[in-house]
Amino acid sequence: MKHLESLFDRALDAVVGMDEAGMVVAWNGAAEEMFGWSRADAMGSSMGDLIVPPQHREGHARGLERYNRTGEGPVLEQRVRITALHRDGAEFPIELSIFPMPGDGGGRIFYAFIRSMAAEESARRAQELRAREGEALLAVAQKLLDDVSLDEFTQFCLDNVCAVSGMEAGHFHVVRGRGPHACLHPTGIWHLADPRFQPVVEATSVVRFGLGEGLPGRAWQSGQLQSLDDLASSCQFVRRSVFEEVGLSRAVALPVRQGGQIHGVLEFFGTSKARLDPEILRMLETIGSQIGVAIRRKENAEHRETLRREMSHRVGNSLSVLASIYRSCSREARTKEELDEAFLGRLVAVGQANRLAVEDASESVAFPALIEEAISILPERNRITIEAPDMTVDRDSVMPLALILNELATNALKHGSSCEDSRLVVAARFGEGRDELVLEWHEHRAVPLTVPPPTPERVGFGTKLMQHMVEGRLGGSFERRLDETGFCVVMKLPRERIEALPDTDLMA
Amino acid sequence: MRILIVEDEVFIALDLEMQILDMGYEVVGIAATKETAIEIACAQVPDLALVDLHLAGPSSGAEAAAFLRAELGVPSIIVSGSLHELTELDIASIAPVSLLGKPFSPVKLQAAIRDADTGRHR
Repeated sequence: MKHLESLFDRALDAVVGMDEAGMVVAWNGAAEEMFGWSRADAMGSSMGDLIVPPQHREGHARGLERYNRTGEGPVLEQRVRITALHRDGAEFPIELSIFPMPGDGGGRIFYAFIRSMAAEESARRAQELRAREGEALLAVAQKLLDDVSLDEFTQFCLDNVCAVSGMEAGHFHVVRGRGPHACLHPTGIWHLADPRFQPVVEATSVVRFGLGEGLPGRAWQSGQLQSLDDLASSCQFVRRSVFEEVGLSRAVALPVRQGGQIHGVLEFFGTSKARLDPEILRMLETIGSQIGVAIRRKENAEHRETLRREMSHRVGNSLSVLASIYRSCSREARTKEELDEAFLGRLVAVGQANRLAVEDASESVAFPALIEEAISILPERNRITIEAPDMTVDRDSVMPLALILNELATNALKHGSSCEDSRLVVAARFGEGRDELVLEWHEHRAVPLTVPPPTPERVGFGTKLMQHMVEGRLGGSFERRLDETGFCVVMKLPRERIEALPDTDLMA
Repeated sequence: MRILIVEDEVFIALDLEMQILDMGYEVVGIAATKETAIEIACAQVPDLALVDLHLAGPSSGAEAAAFLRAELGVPSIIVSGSLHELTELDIASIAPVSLLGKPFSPVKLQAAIRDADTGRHR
């Protein structure tokens, strides 16, 4: 027996022995390492309590009792795959074979050679997950080539990730707004494995997460995957009561990034059965980041398509505008020269206003810069004074303002009250109550006329344009005065229409 | 006949106004947004509206035209560079008297307005 024990101690497999009462009578060094119990701890304890997981204990006891009674043991001397329990409570897969031997004092001793399959099992699982991950990525890549909308594509990705990871629900939040106004908006696109999860969709639709707020907000802030194992007890998870009610208790949030910026957050939820071990989290992270990039691509493609349509629309529109300008100018012109001058001048003006309003729309336009640009056709800048509060002009008002100022500048150039030594002052200031902006255009003659200039006998196109822009487009009013000393237009414009509010542009 | 122009492009709007005046009709106003269009239409109740689908800002010409038709019984001529964007649902709710693709010639506009005028008296 001594011989045997020293032999067992050199074995690579765990070797354990148990008497007919189920008590441990042999425990080698490999067993100490595999199960975490020392030989002193193990000897004399119940084998069933020590290493058999609770769900197998009854079977273990019954098998022993039956063998003792009948001498039959169907599992003896065979390779058996089952799970065992470590001292720390972790269950792991093993392979073992049991064989009975006559004991020294009569009776039987059951010996078992046990091999841990934990390493093999985890390698197999890792391989399987990787294969599933590869399939999912391939499916997403193929879908990206299909002619589907962004919403459909996002849906497909969510369905796929849930299928692969065993999560029950998935959703996508997007970042909207800029700077301190930015927050995560729910897209309303969900994967739900079961209709009973529906209440979480409504509960999510009303929340907006700021940076660092809630689970999605934390994933956004940290730029890292965030997971929660028990939603019910997570006070940072504001929607916990609804999720708890439908049985979703685990959550993972993944930031979606491209070009160093985070554009959205993917969220996945599972029941208590969902495994959130490092392998699954790693897989989610890989798929999530790939899908994030794919969603961004799809978004960009859709954006380009919109731009293309917008472009085609604009070209059609521009031709109509051209035709209209031509007709308007031709109605007024008395000679071909007048027509040339009016038409070409206005064309330049529209082009300029368009550039300010459309091309530079990505950057905000400051009021003084807008004035400067709009009257740039005037020579002799040293005789022009511009005074305007340094505020950003509302995007919708850039075009009207630029056209108004351009019209006035064209007029000044044509009617030469701007002749030698005259001065032009363009001044904007806030009116009383500060909710009004007063914009003054004043051409001062250096030498006043001796007689008042004649009043124009008919309303010209320029005046109509001014009227339409100031009254119709900007909701303001204007007065004009032409006398011996010069020409003056005073416009009163509602400040809220002229001034851009910070960061409202992307919130729509 | 009294006509409302719903068009956010100022040069086109002013040109349309002149064309309509030349045809001997009255222009009750020019609106650049859906809101202004509805405001003017409610105050003036025109006989016809000339509506561009694309308006300034988030405004929709189709919605303006649908409102005019449903609430005030005002028929519309729809003008747009992208008529294909009109859905069947839009067409059903607007019931436009004509559709004009941009750019269109004054002759076409004249014919469309005369048609609307004739239809009105029938």
